[in-house]
Amino acid sequence: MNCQAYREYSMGDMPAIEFDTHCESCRECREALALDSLIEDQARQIQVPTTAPGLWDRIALEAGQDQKVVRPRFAMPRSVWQVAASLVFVIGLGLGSLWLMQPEEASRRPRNLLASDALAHVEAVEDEYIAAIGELERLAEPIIAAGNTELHLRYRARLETIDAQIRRCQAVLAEDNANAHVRRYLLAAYQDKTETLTQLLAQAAASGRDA
Amino acid sequence: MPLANETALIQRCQRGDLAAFEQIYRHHEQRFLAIAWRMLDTRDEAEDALQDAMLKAFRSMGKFRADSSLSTWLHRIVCNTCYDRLRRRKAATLVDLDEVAEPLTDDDAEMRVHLQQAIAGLPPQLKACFTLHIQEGFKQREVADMLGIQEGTVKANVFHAKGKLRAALNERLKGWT
Repeated sequence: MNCQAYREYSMGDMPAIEFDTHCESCRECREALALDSLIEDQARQIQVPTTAPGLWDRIALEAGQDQKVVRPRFAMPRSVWQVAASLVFVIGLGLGSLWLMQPEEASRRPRNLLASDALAHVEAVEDEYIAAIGELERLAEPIIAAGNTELHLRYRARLETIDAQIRRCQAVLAEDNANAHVRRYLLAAYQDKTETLTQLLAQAAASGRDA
Repeated sequence: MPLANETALIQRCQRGDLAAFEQIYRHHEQRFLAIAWRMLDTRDEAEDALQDAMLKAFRSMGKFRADSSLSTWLHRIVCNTCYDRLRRRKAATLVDLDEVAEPLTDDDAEMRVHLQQAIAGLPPQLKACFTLHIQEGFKQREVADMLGIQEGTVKANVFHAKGKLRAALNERLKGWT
């Protein structure tokens, strides 16, 4: 626009009363003011999402990883550390002697046997979820692809969020396969996805019946 | 509105209590998500930015001092994180119609989608000032503080942003008035 008065008014260099008087004789400023008022009003009314399903889980997951790495430091008197170090040394010496004295067969047993069993069990449960999800996805895919209602868009957004969560968990597990904390989140994500797909299919079946 | 037990929650967060931080996050989630989404235009990027911001906040909670309110401090982190992402972008993002939260039910809604597209195309600093001052209702002084710029610069940026939006939507808007 060519008139400088609107700029001066917007920058706070011209009082509102003076600008009002100016507007009575300046069509350009009047129009700009009306359009700006409309833009501001409509811009405020642009709707934004109010929830981010799964976002807190992602934040907690990463914050939880930090906490595994950074342990809080406790300020204890030096004497306590000295006593603790002596105890560790004595216990270590005792355990070392016991280990040297035990039969050879026993010492060959894998030490992480329990952890391996638990991991195998968790992986079996995960495989069940993956198989169930695969089946549900096969049924839901045409519904999601064809649907363009707000509800479908919400389902699609939710599934994308869950998929992102699953991918993040899988990336962490590629580095640290036995991380129980991340395994728990991954299972929760699988569960969440199964429930969401089931809800979507139920919704579609109900709509079909109504129609 | 501040949390009722904010001081206790801050102290717990400073000891690394994630459950306490979750309460703070839940209290602000809706507003922060709105800011991030308005500044970054897509849900994925808004969520990523909010995640980054919340992790920064949780990790720096030990440095938080009560000389400003927790809400102001968190808002500053969220706005700065989004603004950094906005500046790093190589090109403006086009608003994906699938991501528009509003169904296109009438002319007003359609106009808002065009307006949203035009806002997405604004240069980063103009967009940040317009979004925070006009859409999110922060005072110009607060916006200046959050973005680390002068209050006069905020006024000028808002003025230029409105000028660009007027130019982008002139014909449509005229039909509207």
